[in-house]
Amino acid sequence: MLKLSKEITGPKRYRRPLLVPMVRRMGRRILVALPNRVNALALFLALGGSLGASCGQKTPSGAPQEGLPDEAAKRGLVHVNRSGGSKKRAILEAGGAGVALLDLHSDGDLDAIFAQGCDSLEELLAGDGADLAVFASADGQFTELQGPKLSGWWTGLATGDLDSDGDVDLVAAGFGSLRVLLQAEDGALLPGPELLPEGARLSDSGAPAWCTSVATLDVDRDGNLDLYVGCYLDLDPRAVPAGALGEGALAVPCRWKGLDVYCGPRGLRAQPDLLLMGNGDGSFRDESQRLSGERAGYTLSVLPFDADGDGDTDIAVACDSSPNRLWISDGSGSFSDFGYEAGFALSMDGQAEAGMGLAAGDVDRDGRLDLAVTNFSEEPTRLLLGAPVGFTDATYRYGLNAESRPLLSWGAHLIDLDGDGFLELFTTNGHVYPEADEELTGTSYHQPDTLWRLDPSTRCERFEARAASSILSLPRGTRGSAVGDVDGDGRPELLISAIDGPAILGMNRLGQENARLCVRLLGPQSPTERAPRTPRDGTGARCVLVVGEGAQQHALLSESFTAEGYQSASSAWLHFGLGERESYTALRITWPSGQTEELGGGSANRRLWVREGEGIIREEAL
Amino acid sequence: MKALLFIALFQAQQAERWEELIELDLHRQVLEEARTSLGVDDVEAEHLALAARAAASAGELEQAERWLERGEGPAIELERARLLLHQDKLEQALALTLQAGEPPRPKHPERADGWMLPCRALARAGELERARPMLEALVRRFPQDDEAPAALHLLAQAAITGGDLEGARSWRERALSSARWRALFDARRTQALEHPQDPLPRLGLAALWLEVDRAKEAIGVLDELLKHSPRFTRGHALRGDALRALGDLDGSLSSWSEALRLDPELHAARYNRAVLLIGRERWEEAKADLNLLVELEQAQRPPLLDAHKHLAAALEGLGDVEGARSARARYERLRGN
Repeated sequence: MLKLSKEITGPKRYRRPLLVPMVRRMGRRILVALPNRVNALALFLALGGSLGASCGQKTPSGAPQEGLPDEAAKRGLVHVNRSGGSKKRAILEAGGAGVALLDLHSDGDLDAIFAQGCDSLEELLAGDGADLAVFASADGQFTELQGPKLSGWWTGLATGDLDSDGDVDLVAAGFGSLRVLLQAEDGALLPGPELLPEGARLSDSGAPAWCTSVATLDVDRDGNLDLYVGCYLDLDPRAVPAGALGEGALAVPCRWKGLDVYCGPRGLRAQPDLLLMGNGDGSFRDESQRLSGERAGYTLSVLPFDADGDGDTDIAVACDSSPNRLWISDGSGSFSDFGYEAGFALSMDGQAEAGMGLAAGDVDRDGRLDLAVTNFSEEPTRLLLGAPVGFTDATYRYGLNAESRPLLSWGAHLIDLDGDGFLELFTTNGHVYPEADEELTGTSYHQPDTLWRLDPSTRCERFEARAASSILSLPRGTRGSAVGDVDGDGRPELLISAIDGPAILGMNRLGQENARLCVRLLGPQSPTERAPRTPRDGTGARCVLVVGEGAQQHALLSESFTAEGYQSASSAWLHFGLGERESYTALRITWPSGQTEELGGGSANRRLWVREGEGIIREEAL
Repeated sequence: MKALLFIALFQAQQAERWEELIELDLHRQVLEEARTSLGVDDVEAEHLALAARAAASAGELEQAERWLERGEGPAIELERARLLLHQDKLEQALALTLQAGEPPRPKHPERADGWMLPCRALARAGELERARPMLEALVRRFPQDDEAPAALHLLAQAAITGGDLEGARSWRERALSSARWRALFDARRTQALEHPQDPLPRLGLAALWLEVDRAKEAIGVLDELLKHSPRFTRGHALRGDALRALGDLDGSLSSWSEALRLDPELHAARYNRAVLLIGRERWEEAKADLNLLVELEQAQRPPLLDAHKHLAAALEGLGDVEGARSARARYERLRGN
């Protein structure tokens, strides 16, 4: 532990890229390890002793405290998701929808937006599509506002300051449509024109472009936010395939465990993802050619983050029944897929799994961001630790395979909910097939959400629901989820969309005795003359919080991104848990512009606003 | 004695079928059958192991344990290891599947899963490098096993971690090709289960076996196919190909002849028969086949183009020098020389 602390808190460590790029050039095709980096596996073994010890069952210190009560209805978040019929005869009906937590009106309160589907495909075809549901918050109480008057079947939401005017805007992705909604001065979301490029609105077979998910990032570090748009598959809503795909004796039945289910994604044509470059005013241009490689792969979730620690933003893409992608930036905004080399594309058995949701965070505190990927039932939620060469699969050593195999999971978050300084893994769960409730499937349609403690020295430990009101207690079918401090107490809450059901708001009552620090990273108000620049909303900035002294010193790494979970957007606030400590030693920030800032120590239990070049510009006690 | 043999054969076939059902994600079917057929005392370990696997997949772990308790031997031991892997008990799985000492050696090398399960445990424990020699042995010994794609993938990952980029590329290509083959194989088996009377899925299955030089398995599938569809000409033709691959030239001549009797338009079978007849110096018969082929429009380009060349050889064998010269000239002209 001492060695680790020294390593990752060394004075220059975070002023430079944390890792050399995963792949500098295509010809190299492999990461070169920094010789003095701590190998995640070595760290794991060092902490856990032998393999046997690391796989042993230990009880983490401190019993789980009061859980995560659902207070959605109590707080006025009365919203019911609609996602087709209960029998789920079309694949479009099974995915549910995303949610977003963002500050409308710039009043400091986190407001909530729900993507919404329709009661049936017929309703969509008739033109009576759904609008987004918008709820404004004041001190944690919500009031429904009029929606932006969109009409469609909406799934993915993304947030960011798309026009660099200082407030947060929204992007909505759906079946056949992609729309930007810029926030006006009065907090209203004003829909812009259709964003899908003319040539990408219909596939070759005439099916509408199906944008499942979208994420904001600054691809080329010009300070303008760009969009990665994840697309799914060709589905003709007028002729939904049923029974089998193919013809005659060579047709493949649409079955799961011998039960008739809806068709797809396998057997239906995947649609290519898109990369839209922002012009800084809320308009975009299609530069998908920056993605060098196969772009079609049943994308369900997108998470932009600096995967190789070289200072630019890479993109993890969770793909359903096809290899996940890890687009590594070459620094200029061109990407190559190194998912296979990084151990991210396929399972350890070489199988393409049903990638659903994504989360990133530094689980083992080694200064590299780690990844969680949710999957289908009988496929584990994977935990991939950042390593000198790509990722090391720690799923099994953490015991996550045994824990998560019966679950079909969607949204994922690596977040310190209880404030003890170690990240937890939260997943939303629920099967796609109502037929999962038949006998002998080994799973069920409704499943409770799950939260695991990820102390690196032991196997994961599942938080048990202690009250019926806990979001971890009731089996449901949950999909999109977002994290943010809704009630202003410094503890992040979980906003969740349940398929065909009421919205869920898990209020965070965990670790009330633990100290916290909330940090909001912001780019300059006016763009600097020359690129690279930091986006005004700070997207892509990295923060290292150094905590403790001497042998107890450790560093907590976090990065400012909102696209996390499943087709959802979390708050841009970074949440750190400090356990029993009442102060931190240092705060180090690496901005996308390449600038670094080292701020001194300070007391915990505060909310800090930090602007590039200006240090802490505002603070509040929690 | 005869009755015992019959029972043994039935049990072997049932085990094979259960294994196939499990591979095709039809565990529930196995479990339903197992609940009735495993009620008796004397049950093969292989059946108990497969039933336990099906039960585990259905989330019925206690039932799986109960079945495993009733048997012993490699199948039972390996199934226990599989269950331990489901529970992330890696060290215990290794203890069950590896011999004592270094380097790691499987306890049950006669079975593909005897190799794969300890390799999987090592890889999951972060010790992929230690598994590498066993993985290499597995893909050498069991190249078409359903675990082969996984083993090849792990070898590619091991090469990446070790910085062996060329090796990684090569293993990856093999892994992809093996996975593609396996996916097609499973699709064809599903189709065959779905449409047991239709010859097409089985024809595809046989072609897949032939693709990987497993002619014996191909013939097994084709015999089954022809039992249901004796007039399916493409089945006879492919059977001829498979028998040729096994060196049974009389058998292949007979199969191709049967195919051509049913459908004289099967040009590939006619071509193959003619080539074989030339090899046996049965010039007249070869000439008859080749004369039919060279008149076809398709014979102006590959792969039937070579019919002209073979016709020249047949005519030469018959002493028709002029005819042979003419056929060869035609061949050269069509070939563009």
